[in-house]
Amino acid sequence: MNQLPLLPISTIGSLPKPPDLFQAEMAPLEQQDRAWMRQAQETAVADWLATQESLGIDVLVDGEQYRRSMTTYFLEGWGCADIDPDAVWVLDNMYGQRAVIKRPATESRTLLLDWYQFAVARAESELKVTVTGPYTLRDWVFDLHYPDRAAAVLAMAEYVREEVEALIAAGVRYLQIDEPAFVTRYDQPAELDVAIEGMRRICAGLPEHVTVFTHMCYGAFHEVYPKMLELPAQVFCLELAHVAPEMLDILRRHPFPADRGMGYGVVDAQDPRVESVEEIEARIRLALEYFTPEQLWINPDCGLQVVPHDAAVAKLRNLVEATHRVRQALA
Amino acid sequence: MLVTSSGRFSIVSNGQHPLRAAVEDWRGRVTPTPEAAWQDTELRAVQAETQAELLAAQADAGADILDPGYVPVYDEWFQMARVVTDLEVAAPLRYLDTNTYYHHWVLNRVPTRQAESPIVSAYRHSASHTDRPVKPALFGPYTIWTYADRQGEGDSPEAFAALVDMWAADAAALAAAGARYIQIEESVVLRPKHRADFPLVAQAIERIADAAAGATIIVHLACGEIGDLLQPFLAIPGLGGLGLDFTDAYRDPNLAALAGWHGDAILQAGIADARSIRVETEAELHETLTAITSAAPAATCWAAPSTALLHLPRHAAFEKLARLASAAHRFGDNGA
Repeated sequence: MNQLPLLPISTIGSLPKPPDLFQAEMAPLEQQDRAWMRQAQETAVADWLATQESLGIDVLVDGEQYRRSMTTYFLEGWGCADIDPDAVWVLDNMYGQRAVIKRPATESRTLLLDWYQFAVARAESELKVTVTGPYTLRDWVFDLHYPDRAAAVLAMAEYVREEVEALIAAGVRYLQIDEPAFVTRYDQPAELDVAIEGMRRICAGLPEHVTVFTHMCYGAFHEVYPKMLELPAQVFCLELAHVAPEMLDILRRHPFPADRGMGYGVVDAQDPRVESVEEIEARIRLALEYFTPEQLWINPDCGLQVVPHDAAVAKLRNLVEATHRVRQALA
Repeated sequence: MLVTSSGRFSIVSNGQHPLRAAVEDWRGRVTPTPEAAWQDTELRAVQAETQAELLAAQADAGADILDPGYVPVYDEWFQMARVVTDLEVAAPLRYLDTNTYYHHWVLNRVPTRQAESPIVSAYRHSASHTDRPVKPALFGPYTIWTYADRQGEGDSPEAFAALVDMWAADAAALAAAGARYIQIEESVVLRPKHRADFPLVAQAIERIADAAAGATIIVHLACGEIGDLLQPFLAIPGLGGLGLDFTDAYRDPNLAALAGWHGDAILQAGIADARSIRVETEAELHETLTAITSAAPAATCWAAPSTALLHLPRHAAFEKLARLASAAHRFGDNGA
């Protein structure tokens, strides 16, 4: 087992897909060549694992090369949803297909096990597995089955729990439960409580050697802090490259607890402009004003899937270099 | 009872749409930036065709008052920014509790406008393609302001007033072009932390209404409870209408608030849930309309989706709009 350095570096989850794979998965389902896609996905995962290792990332991800989206992959794979073919607008000129929950799960809830085993056989470094959290799985889709939102979230939590149990049995030590939707209904306390309960059900009784991360992005974190600390995660990976003054202000008033970690986002995951090493270093140094070095993980704001491949690699390269500079200064 | 759209639509149908194909083609031809999109004549031609198509689809569904059908290649906040001098636009932020994202503005000085907003030319184009009234839907200045990264002079009352002046100029241009109705989206003011900013919204709406003589200014307030802000809103000079959300999460509190409805403002009643793929039955819609019109005059009540049908797959959006139109027209015919 590798000993992680101070300021361990990881990424959030998604990484850019090869254009032909991206095009193939946007095609109507009945037109997709699944065998070709599986081969292309395996190649893309292997490539990204090698790239991350060559860049010096400490804890790798598989880049989610086999997921059309962070919600449809699970809901379609579990058999509880159909994918609506009419994609809806998300941002800029991007449209995303939405799952429609229509029934309880009918398929195995071990979708990630196979991909974890594929990745672990090809990686020297530690791996972090990312799974979409139950609140986001409900909030970002349509539901025609469950009587209310809470019922759907808790059902999804049971399915995620099954994924997690299989992964831990296979040796996963770093697990990230993504809940970007957690920041969307900050003015509805009951919604936050449902999200917290969902993650608690997943994490209850997990072995101590498993580090649980959660990730949120593009939201008003200051509105859900310190409430977010009720989520049973040890490390909170947040989009902070352009941290809002309100977040820094609330961190001054409610310091982050010493026994929790912060995965501090230091590069923009939407802007293809590559931040300089100096810019990133400055962001890490800002983070050190609010968190101890032992608390900090360094990562991009979010999955880098929407920036071009070369820009993603360049961002990660500069992120690693900036982190090394700060490590040396701290040594 | 009149039926209106509440904003724009998603375009993709079964994975395809001519505009989407044109965008992909454009991305391959140039470095894709908002400025490049705006200047690309091929792309703009397909956008214009898409407008005509969406106008026709709304009319086919039975809507009486139509959205212009303009689909920006980037988002509306970005496209508004391009007419402001030296304005930096930053990363996308999630809008309210939706899974949609808009590029927020960086205001570090008092903004000045250098050109007319694209929404005005989009309105002119759409108005020339239909005999029905077209209602442009604009994000309001308070929404842009509150989501903006504001620094220095950009965080001053003068900066907000300058923003309002820009919107007033656009509203005036829309009214001059023949727009009878203009929808201003300011839902964020219903969020608890923003309610105290109501005076800013009121200041903006009064100024915009004053500038757009002849047009009815409808403030759209989705995804929230109007509560104690109803009376202050109804008291804004020049306010022509309010859009309220009567879908499940907000139905009871907003119906309760309607007990205090008065005056002749239009109530744009959001009774079809634009965030849910389930299509309401006519009976359900009639029940909600009955409850609404027991408090507010039916004569000045419009039936509408709760917010833009943008959030729904295209087939579901138009199915929902058609059901809404059928239910509302039948409700009106029955003399309720």
